[in-house]
Amino acid sequence: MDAIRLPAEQRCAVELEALRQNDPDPRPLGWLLSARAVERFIVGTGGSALSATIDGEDVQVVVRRKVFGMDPLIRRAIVTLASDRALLLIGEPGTAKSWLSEHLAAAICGDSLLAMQGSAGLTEDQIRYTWNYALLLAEGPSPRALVAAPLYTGMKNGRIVRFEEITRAPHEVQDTLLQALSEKVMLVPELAGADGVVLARPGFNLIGTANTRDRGVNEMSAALKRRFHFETVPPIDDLQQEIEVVREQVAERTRGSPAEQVTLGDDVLELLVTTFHELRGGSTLDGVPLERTQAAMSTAEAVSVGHHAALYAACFADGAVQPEHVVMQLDGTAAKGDSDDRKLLRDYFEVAVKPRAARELGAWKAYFAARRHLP
Amino acid sequence: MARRGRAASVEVDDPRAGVARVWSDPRVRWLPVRHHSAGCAIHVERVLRAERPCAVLVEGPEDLEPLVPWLVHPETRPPLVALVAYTDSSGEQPTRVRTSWPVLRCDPEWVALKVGAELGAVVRLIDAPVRAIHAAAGGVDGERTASEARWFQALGAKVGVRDFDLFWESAFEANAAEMSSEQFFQALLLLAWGARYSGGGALGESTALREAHLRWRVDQALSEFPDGRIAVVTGAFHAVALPFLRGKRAKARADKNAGVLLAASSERAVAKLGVRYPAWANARYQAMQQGKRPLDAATAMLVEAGRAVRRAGGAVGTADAVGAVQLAAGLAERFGRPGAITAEHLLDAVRAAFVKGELHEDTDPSLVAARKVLVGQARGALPDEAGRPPLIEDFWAEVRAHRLELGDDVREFHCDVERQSKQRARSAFLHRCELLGIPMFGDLPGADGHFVGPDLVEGKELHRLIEKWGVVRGDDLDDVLLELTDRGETILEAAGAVLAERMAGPIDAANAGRCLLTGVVCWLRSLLPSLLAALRTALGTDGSFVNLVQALHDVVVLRRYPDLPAGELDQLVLSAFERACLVLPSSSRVDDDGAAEVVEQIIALSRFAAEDRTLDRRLLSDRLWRVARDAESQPLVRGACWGLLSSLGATTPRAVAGELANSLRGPLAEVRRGGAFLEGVLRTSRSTFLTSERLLEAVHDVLIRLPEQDFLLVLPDFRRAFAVFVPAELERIGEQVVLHLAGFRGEADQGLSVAAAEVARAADRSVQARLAGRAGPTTY
Repeated sequence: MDAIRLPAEQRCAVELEALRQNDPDPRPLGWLLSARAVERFIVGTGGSALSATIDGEDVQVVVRRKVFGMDPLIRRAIVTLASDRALLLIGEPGTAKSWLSEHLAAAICGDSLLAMQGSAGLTEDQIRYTWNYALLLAEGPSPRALVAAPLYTGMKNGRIVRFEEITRAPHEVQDTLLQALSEKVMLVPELAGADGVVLARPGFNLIGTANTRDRGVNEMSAALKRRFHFETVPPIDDLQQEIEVVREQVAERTRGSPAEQVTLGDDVLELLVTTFHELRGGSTLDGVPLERTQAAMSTAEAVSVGHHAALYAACFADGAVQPEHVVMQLDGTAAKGDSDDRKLLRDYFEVAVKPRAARELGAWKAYFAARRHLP
Repeated sequence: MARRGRAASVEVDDPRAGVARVWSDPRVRWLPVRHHSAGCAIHVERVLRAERPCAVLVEGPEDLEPLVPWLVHPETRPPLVALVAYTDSSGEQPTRVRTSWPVLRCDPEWVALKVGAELGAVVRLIDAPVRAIHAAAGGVDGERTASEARWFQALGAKVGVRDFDLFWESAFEANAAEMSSEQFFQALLLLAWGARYSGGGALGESTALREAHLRWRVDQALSEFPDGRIAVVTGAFHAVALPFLRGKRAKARADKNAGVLLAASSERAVAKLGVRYPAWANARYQAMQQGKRPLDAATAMLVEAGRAVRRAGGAVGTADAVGAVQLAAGLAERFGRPGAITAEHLLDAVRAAFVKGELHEDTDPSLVAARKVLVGQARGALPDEAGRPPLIEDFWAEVRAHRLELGDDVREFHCDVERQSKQRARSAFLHRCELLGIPMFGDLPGADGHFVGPDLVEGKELHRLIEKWGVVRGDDLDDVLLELTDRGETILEAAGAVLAERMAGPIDAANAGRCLLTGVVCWLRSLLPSLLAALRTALGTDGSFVNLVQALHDVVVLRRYPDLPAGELDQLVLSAFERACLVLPSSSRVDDDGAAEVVEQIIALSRFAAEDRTLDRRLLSDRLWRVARDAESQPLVRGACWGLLSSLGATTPRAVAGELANSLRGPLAEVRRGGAFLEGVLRTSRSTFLTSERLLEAVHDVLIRLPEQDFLLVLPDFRRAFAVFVPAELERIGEQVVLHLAGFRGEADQGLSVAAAEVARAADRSVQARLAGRAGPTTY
């Protein structure tokens, strides 16, 4: 299909089908896979292949790991979604909350697109339902005139509904969820009889995400909080794991683009990820303290810098990402043009990069020399 | 190919046949167990009650056998701690070795002893003596450990669980109550058989020794009871080997200082001994005994955790507890086996259902409260006749004698040490308790800690006369006292033992001085002669200047105490001073990191010399000169010596300035060392610098002659050098410099004259112009 990015259930259709064919465990009501199979979809099969028949062909399918460093959390999240509680993933921006939410929804119900984006402009009818006003005027309230929003569809069809950045939505709009989450029912007072009552079918649940940096979860009412099980998604703690994630994600983003053939060497990848890892952690790997930037130096931002550096190398250089290409992207992509963060980035080069450059470690010397590109 | 194990006649490749042989032994009922397993405890009791053996032999060190009557006493209630202690003289220094065994209600070993005694059987502990086990400990064989780990991993993968604990819960604990004892124990023997015989690697030396001894004790019992059947309760790993082994007695060397002790303990204390969540283990056992499901125990725990969170101010409702129970049950069901709920599942449930915000694993109040609930607070009990360890009796007797009240709130107690002997004794007791780490102190209101008064050991607040102590009953008081019981029969003895341990082996002068001070404040009279002797020896052998000056400080402080032999202290002061002076030149070539400490001690040494006329000042002056003239000395140290000599009047400010000028010549590295030299000078001649113009002028003259490039290079070092002054002093120096620039003479404290102010403004304009790049000739 010609699309910039496919939803997880389409991107990973082969993996999901292979898991379905190799799933001996009981499935929670309304789920496409068992809890164990959903877990394997998220944490991967550790390199071992599953035998499956896809489109009439016998194939071996290795399920890739989707997230790192949070395996116990994955189990809790899956069990929560099989219970009557909703799941709220919270954490710093760029810690793969939405990514995890999308993949959980894809594995559980094969549909990750029943999603709402929290914002100040989000209204109740974008969550529950609205009307086709032409039909409404012509026929009066009827199921035909009702335009279902994600929550309505999720309840009616027994699907997972996703609510991104839930704490950015106005308080009263958030509370629209209360009845659906506690009583598993949505009333449509405009419709008479059975049409006016939507009872949630097995398989319905909701995954919310909220980041802890710009607006806290305190914005949620206590009543709504009680309907959720909270899970804090941590940043990737292991440098090597983070390097692998960035490598894989950059490769995926550049697939089919001019940057697909670009070389992103291990040495450049290492200094890129180390920069993010150290600035996020507030100290160098050697323990020298650093001031943290305002911007979230998340893995997602590192991927973004890597992606842009690869595009730059493809368009304006010889096809290999150099340290200077990384530096060029740091200001706009990572520091977001913030003047204080720029200063911290420059300090970082003096405190952390310079000593490595002096020891001529890997590409650090070229990286240090490229600091001139920082505004 | 069939392999043979160490046993003479067991086919290790046929586990089922092997297990059948073990289980059908006509003389011995081998009962394999896992420590602290509730399921094992339930089935041990069932088998013993059904078969009524004439003797019950339990894996546990035979050193503890005298305690068995108290262990099985009807009034005894775990948690308990059994302790074995002995003195190991095999090394250079004799060391006291202590080994503890926590005893829980759900321990199959304790249940075996208790039920065996109830049934009238002979009950015995049959493991090798602790001392023999320790002597044989040659480390665990790595290959064997790895092969066992591989086997458990493969087993886990086969049944779809990740770790052994979860496998254990799924396979044994979750359904223990419903399984027959035969099924349960045969399954356990099969598991142990696989672990023991599936991989390579030899047994550790101590394991082999223990098993031979266990077997020997079994053989002894078989001879003793030729017509009866006996039950042997051991770890499952041993149970699959013991039937096929040959026995050999393990002997331990006699030790008249060896001792054993049984004391009532608490769930919190046994958690520290390695049983992670005793209350959860006991709750599950109790549920099994009452025929309830593990989920019932889990529910009770999570409800209690919710209440604990509420008591701590958290907002956790019944609905959250319901959510937590669902989650714990769901985790067990979806990723293990229904009902196989582990403590980690309960904590996972708390993480998800109770924490309504960002999770901080170590500090989250819900998790902290839940962990406390899983650990528990229950205390064990022993019959009165069993007595309390003497140290605990002594502690409470002392508390009463000194009229200390240990309550939940901090209370303040005063000790007028120098004037009232009773309060001196109270102070000594409190110092001993502090030395032993007894949790009975709380912060005093408005103070930094639990103590305000002259702190001899740290050398702080020595002007104070009265000690103030904040005293409270700490949470772990009983447990810590219990841990200390082997140190002696009284608090005095225990404190002496701890201090003597610190003094064991070679000790440097600083530590010897510190120990002597501690001995004095704790008033450990019997130890004082040996502490003094140790300090004397250390002063003669320690070549560290820093240590010697610290020891000198400690001995000087001790002169406050009239009870100590004054003549001996004087002698120690002289000795420490002379030794410090003698080693000073050799300590001056210290590296940059250690220089500041040496300078600090040089200043302290000079202060002692100034205050005590009996000390040889000429010796000190001579040694300072040696350092000052040694070009290889660390510059900070060297500068400090020059500054001191100037302050003492042994040299002139002009000479110091000349030396500074010399140190600022040469290559860049040398110039930068000049900054450190100046810092040393200023640290030791600060008052001279402030009150005498001559040194300031001399330094100023050196600085203005420096080429601008060199000056900029050493500027950071100079800034650090001048950091010894407080802002008011810097202002005063600034005034003097301005006056000097303007050609004024006289003391700056007469105030800044109008002319000087004009000069200052001119200088300021010049600096501004240079900074703006309009540098021209500087004129004032």
